[in-house]
Amino acid sequence: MTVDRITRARFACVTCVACACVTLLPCGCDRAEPSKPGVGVVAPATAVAPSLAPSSSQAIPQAIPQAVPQAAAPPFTMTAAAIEARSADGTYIVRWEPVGGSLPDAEPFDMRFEIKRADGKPVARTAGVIVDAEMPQHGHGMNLTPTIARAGDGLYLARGMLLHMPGRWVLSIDIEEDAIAERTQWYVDVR
Amino acid sequence: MRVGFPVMLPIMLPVMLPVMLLMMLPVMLVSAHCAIAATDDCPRGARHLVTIPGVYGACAVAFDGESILVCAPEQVSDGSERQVVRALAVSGRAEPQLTFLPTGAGYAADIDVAADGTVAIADAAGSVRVIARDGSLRVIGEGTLESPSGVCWRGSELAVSDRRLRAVVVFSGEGVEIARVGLGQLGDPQGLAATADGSLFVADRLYDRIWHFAADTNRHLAGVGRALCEKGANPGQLRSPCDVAVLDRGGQRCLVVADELNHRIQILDGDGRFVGFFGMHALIPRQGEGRIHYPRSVAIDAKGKTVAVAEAFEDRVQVFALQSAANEIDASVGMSEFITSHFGSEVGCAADLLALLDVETLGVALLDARTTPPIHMAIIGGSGALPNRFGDVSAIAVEPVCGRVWIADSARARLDVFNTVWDRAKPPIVDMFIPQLARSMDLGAFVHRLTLPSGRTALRVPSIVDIAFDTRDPTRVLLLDAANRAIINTDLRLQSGTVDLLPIAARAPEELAIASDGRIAVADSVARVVFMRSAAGEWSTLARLGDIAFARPAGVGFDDTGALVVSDCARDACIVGGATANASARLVGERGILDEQFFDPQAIVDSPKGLIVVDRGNHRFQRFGGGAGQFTWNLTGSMGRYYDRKRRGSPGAAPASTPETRVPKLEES
Repeated sequence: MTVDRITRARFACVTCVACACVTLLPCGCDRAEPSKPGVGVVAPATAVAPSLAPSSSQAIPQAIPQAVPQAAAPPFTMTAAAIEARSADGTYIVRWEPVGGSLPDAEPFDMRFEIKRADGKPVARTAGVIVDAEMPQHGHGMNLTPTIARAGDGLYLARGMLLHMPGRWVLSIDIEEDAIAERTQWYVDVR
Repeated sequence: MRVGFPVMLPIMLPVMLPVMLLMMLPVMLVSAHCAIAATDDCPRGARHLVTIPGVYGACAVAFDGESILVCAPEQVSDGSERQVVRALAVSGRAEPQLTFLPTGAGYAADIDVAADGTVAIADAAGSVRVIARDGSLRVIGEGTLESPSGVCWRGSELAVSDRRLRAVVVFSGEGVEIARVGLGQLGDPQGLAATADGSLFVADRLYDRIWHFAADTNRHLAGVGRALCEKGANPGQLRSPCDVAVLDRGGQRCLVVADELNHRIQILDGDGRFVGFFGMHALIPRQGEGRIHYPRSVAIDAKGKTVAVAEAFEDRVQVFALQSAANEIDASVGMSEFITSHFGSEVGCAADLLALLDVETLGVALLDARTTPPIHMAIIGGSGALPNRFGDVSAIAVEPVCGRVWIADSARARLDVFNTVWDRAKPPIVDMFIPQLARSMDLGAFVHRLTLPSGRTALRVPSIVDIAFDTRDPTRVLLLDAANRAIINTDLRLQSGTVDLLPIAARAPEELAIASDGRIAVADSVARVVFMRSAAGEWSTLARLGDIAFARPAGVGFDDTGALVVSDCARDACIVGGATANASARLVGERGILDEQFFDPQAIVDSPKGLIVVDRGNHRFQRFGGGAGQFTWNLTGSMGRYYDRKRRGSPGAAPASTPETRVPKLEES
């Protein structure tokens, strides 16, 4: 082997190792932040006496992660085909419809929905909203997490819904105001 | 023609890079799976040496030279205060010799032994007991600690995890608090271990991970912990880790973790990557010889060769020898006796609906309580973070009349209410659409709507451990709050409420029952008493019923005559009697696996056909009825397997010639 070949071989080895290191760097499995919502606020080490006051030290993960819609969607009007139901405790009247008029078979779709309070008051802009669907007989939900955008007073758009298999689904909309979440739900039969 | 390197470089890289990436793909995949550690320094398995049975409530272990110290808080059933057991001759096959160590602890929850032989015991009643070699006793942390759950020596200092403070508190050798770490980060800190350089590894049962708090060169701990591992059942994942021990091998740290709900001991490297495991899941109660059932604590001897594992569920300690070879998977299990349910201590029942927690799945099973056997109809929830899922179910109740199911989740700090929609006129059938989440209430916000009791300026976020409805006032619900040691009386939408503090002696209230005349009973297994509140609102404390003292009262109920029934998990029996000084009492049940026998009885709830007692250590419940205060056994049940006639060998069973009934039988509702 000539000197040049040796040098080239060394270069190739060094390149290989360097690339391998760079490639492996992001593959470490440490998770500096826990995956559970709301955890991660850390107080420095102190030597304080315990307090009974609720504080960040007793901060507990919230049930509804990222529930308040941050994104905005263009305003729309619900059609007469929208399906209406009352929430379980009767606080809200909710209507929903798939964008495009019908539910596609095992394809992602978007849905519009409108939330009104039964007492006529407006729904708070800070209200948390979660749209979900699950199959109780199968014990699973959707494979996608939809994103929710606010389109005006009480109007929302959920993007990225997917009812991925046939059968009976429970479509639910959870609305949280004043630390109480209330559920509205429908059965959806996918054939 | 020879080509120089500057010219070759742009040509080589595009060609070489895909080839190299392809070569590295298997390594990347393994690494990205976050599991396999490339180390030969940590042991990969262990061989079973010996089992030490009969250590009641064995929840913590530590090596002291050649012997093992075990915290056995249910050992108090003989009336003594001896809760720490010293087991000798653990390395051989000889029957271990048990002696006792006087500690004065209320509830010995964890133990560690310093290099000089000084013993530290975490007392869940709110302190750490330090016993020197000469037998002298010091108490540390009183007034600072609330519910210590783990303890370890860090040189001459003591590190104590406190599940109520959700932090690790470090004390100097003189007992002065010098640091507090993990605030806002830890969920339910349990066992912990210190390394030679002073850093700490803490097992977090709620968040299913190990936290690492590094120490600098001056041994100052970082306030921010690094999370290792995640929730799951695959290699390198944890479910409800309860304890961690550290093994230093030539600069390589090995973590040995009691992985409770995966029923195994996992060995990880210092960064939380999987190295190996040992201890196959004991699929039926009392199965041992290396099979593990709900491991609660783990300890390594000074030589780094032997591991002791405490299993409170089985009242035993198993000892293993670490080995470099991985364990072979042993699939030989007597499947004819497999277990169909894993009931937790939480249960609710009203009118026609019985709700029982399955601790393995965090699903709540709904059964029709009118039938014998109760017919399983649906399951609520399961493990998860979204609405309709649970992180840690801490209380269940069924609302009378309407049959709504209330479920408290201490991990999410929520109280969820489920409607149950089914035709009660028809025979019960399996229908997973029966439960429908109605509302979910945030307990963190609820605390600000409560009227403060006199003498308190603030309240903690409630930790609801039981829920009860007073049938005399259907608009109110009572919540037993372990965080504030109080009963919260609130409306059904948690808009406002009052707080009735339990007596000062309360330590860990677990269960609440309301009699038809308005009396309230609260069981506290750490304080070893039952608190009684009269209908007029005055509190009294019961340490016994008749001449039978409580050892570890875990559940309370009232029978149809108003007599008090207390399940005692240390006595493995129920105590039935009047709640007055002169009333007589009797023990019902004994330790065992047959009918009218118990292994760690827990919650009690009233049902249409009698009081139901969760017999947790036998993965089942038993029902007692009979009317007129008889409290006689009438059913043993788990999912799909019921006995309404006592099996041979059970207390008071029919003669051997009588055939057993094992086929479920339906009665008219």
